[in-house]
Amino acid sequence: MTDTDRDLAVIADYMRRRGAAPLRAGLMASARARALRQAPERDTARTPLAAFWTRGPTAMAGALGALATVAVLLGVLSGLPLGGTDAPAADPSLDGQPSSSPAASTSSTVICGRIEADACQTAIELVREGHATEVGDASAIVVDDTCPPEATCDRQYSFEVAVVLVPAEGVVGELVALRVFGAVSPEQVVTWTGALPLHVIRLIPGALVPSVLEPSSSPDGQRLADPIVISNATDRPVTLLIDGVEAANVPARAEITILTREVPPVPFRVEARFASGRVIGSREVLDTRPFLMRIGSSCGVLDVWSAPTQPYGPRPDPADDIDCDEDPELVAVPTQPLVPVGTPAGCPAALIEGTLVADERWGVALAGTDDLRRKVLWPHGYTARREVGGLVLYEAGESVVAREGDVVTIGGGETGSDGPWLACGEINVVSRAEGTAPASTPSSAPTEAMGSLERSDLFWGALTMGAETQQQWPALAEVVEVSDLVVRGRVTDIRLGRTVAVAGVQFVLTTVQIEEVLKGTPATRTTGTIEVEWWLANGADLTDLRAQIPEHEALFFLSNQGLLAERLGHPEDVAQYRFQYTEINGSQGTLRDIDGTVRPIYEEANGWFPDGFVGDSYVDLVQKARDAVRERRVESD
Amino acid sequence: MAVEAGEVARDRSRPVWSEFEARATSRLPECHRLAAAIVGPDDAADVVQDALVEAWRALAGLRDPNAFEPWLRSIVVNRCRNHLRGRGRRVRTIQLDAAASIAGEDTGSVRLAADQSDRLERAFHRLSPDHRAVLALRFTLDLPVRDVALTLGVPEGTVKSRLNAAITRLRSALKEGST
Repeated sequence: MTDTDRDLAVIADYMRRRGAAPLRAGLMASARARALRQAPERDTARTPLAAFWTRGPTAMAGALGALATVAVLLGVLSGLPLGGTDAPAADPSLDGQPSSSPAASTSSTVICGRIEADACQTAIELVREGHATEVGDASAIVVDDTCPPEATCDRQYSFEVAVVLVPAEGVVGELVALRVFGAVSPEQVVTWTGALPLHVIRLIPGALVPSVLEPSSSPDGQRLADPIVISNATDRPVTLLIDGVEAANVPARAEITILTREVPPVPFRVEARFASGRVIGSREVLDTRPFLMRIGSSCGVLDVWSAPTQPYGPRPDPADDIDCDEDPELVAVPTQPLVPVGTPAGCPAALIEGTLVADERWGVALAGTDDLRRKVLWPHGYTARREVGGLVLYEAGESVVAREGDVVTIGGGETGSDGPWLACGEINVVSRAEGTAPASTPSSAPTEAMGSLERSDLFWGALTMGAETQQQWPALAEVVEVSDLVVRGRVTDIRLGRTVAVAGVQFVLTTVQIEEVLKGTPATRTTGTIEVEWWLANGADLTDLRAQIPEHEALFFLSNQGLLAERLGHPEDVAQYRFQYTEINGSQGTLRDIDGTVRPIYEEANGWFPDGFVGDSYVDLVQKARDAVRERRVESD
Repeated sequence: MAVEAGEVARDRSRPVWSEFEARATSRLPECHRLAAAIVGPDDAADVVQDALVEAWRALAGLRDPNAFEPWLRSIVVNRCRNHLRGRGRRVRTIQLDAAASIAGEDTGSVRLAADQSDRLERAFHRLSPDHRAVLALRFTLDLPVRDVALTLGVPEGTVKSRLNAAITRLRSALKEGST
């Protein structure tokens, strides 16, 4: 054994012994207690995914017999003010309540939604301090995160829940709703103002949820004997629609059950779609007998069934498989079923006019002069596609109906008060969009009064870096070293990118016009530009963002996503992502030139570098980066 | 893909603590060894606990579930870095008794091992967090260079150069004692 080998053995042995410290008992339990003080914004979806008609007025009247609650909730939904009381009263104890379901009084039902029991109980106790009577008298207490399921919320407080105190049945009064929030756990309580979020209302026992389309059959129609189960063994999310209305969003390789009471009476039509909106199978359910709809595809089998036990059978003939490969630029739009069973006979004769706009929720929506957006239920077979200049709406995937920015009139009618527009009449283009510019009216457009930083923050604040790595690098030289590409440039465009439906994440791609390449060779589809991917913050509007694109330059430290895929051991993804970049991390990857000084997107990034740089000269920073690249080259030579 | 309906997985693909805990628990000893090697046994548990909380909160952003292990390790390393940066310089003493218990009963070899251990310990504490991290990942966890690079998010060449630099410094410390 050489000296070198011996030294190496000694060092290796020393390192192994350094790591041999005994593991502290209860470490995971402590972490759990800390972690769950703040429930994650996307947690288990215990709320039913099945939607709208499940508790229509008719069904609910029979099911509840609690018209007082209905009245209260109707008030909530119609925007009536919610009551918040300030008079503390006697404080009934929470003693004796099960920890998993902390009840407020012996007769009340507590529904904690996606909030862990401990945090739920703490929130209720906090509410009790100012609303002891209401808590004590409540027939039900509903607690849930204010952030809707399957959504990403950027908000000031990481812990924020709605607490709703439902009065006892038969008591006509105002619903008491409060907002409980804190940095990581419940700390403060304020009265809820405005209407409650839909996902919270859905948790309230017997709540009346606005209906998109009323139940299609007569109230005394028969219902299925067994729930509908969607067993999605494909590797992509599937949406199930019943009579054209979304009933369940089923993640890849997952199973969701729609309870019988949430399914309208027969007859109805079930339809399965991929996230793009492409219909992969449909079936009429004419009676209450068990049924199975089995769809084979190149990415797995989808079963939709209603039976006492899951039906088994041979896999559909692979020759009949649906090809899962889809046009990546397709955009899902809500459409009507092919045969709208039980929907209003004929087509309403109303006409609506508006501008076609891209919409994260509905693919393509209609924007009126009042700046309100309206969901449109497009005719069966309609699709949209991202193309140069914006979205294009297609009829049956072939002929162009209209383009983003076009002003159109659509015959049809409303489905309920402020419900989506049923586009069953003629669709005519009144005026074409100018050039390729999207027609939009930014709701938070930059103003003259705004400073450069403020205007820039407006844009960058809506973008979040994907948390691929938490890694921080302590020096500019290291940031340069780990970057596949370092460029100076300006954002010139932004467009929708991929969607991760399961995580509720929408990505966007920004086009960056390159001013100077400091390191690397840009992988680019268009010479002189690169595409950088970001998460779109929840609620951000792409058309607004386009109008907010800042003029300033920035220094970007980027990872190539194709190379990243390769490094992560996914060679199959390399080709798809080789023209896309992402920041090396969320705080050090983009350094802006704001009036000649350096500004990161997130101010805390300043603390990530040992000597800081906020407010330093941007020109100097760029020179330092150039020097770091040069030094690195010298070292590697 | 021929998957029968009966084989449908029940994976809801959402952050659920029990699922996270199951995955993280299986990596807990490794994470603790890693942290102990980088920051020392006294602070390892706190660092790992911080890392677990951070990982849970960032879990929704983990795009590739198969990358969980390197991702979790990278968070532990990151927390170690922050910890070391925040801790600043601290005087460390080496317990001869502890070194003796590792090295064996023989008095001569105890003294040699204690000296070696002491020198290595001093040299190790002069290393940067990044150098400590590569040593810990490579030798404490016995990871191949490729996985070390994956964890740190740096090229393999960088790992090799850091390893080389760190080992050279520790070797120098060993040599100093033997001359």
